[in-house]
Amino acid sequence: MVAIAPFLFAAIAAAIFTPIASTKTWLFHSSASFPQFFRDRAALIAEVESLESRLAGESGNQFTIDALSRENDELRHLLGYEGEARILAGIIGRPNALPHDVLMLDRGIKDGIKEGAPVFIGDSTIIGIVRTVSRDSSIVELISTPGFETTVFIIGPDIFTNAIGVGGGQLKVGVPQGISLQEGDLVVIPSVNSGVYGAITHIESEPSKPEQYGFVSTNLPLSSLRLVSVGSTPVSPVSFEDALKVLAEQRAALLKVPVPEGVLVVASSTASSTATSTDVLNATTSSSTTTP
Amino acid sequence: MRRVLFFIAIVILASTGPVPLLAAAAFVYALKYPAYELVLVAACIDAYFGAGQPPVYLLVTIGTVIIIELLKPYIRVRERTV
Repeated sequence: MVAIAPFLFAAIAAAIFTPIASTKTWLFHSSASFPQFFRDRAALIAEVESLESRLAGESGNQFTIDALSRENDELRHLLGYEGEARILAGIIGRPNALPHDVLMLDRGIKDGIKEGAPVFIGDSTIIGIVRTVSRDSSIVELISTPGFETTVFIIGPDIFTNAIGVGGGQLKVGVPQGISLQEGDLVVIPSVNSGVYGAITHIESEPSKPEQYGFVSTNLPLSSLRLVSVGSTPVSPVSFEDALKVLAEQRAALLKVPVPEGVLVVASSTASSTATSTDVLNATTSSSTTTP
Repeated sequence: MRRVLFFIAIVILASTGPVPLLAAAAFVYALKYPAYELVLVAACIDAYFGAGQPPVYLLVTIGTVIIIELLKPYIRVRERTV
């Protein structure tokens, strides 16, 4: 009876809390006309204007992102990596509102969510693992949950170390004083085929102490997230060799430059092109001068 | 009826937050009524949201309810009947 009690309480809690969280999200965050009717019209107009100006400014960045994403897909296809099917899930509960430092998603067993599956933001940044799944919802334990330990690789000093979650979307890494840790050093999680988790944003270092601590946060704040993608297969233990392969892929991707088509010269085994980089540059310059 | 509505409000706060408001509401509820049902709410919270972690909410709720029940005879304002 004692062993069954937690599962019984979890099932009761899921049945009660899921509809409440979903209703709250629908009322305060959805774009449906009924809840929008009751929201402040002025606040909505201001938000639209702000988003329009941001969209205009980020259209250039989006072009770069799209080009990089297409190139990434082509390279993965060439390497025979078909990718993993993912399930799109909406966030209906965040750490600042829920009793524990977790995320609550509006997808559950009936949608194919499995316990232990990784949860991503964007294309490849893992933020947590599915811990509890009920029929219509699931709870995600974040990597930044206090006490959650993760093996990370810090690009810069190029070291493996353990990161511990401290809550609020932040990880804490502790390294000896002799290692050069700097703000902006990128942090990768090699246990999952994931991208860069974030960068070191703050360092605590006292010369009198043998260790120094860096705090890592993601580029996107958790409060701004609306959607995440959930992997279809649970995370499995990874060997050190596989982790090194993941790291090599991530580091290679960091050095990719979005060179426009027509400027990038790619060696072809069948074509006998005599074009050189100088010729291509001259062609680009002449085309830019002739363009009105 | 007021007690039922108050309890429903606490359950809603448990799933939507904020947590400080939930704690304050639960404390006031425990002061006004025998709040043993709050232990069930705390057990549900820890079982669903905190699986794999120590049952912090359950332990704190049990301790708080017991302490308040023991202190109630001393902190309750006496009412005089004429």
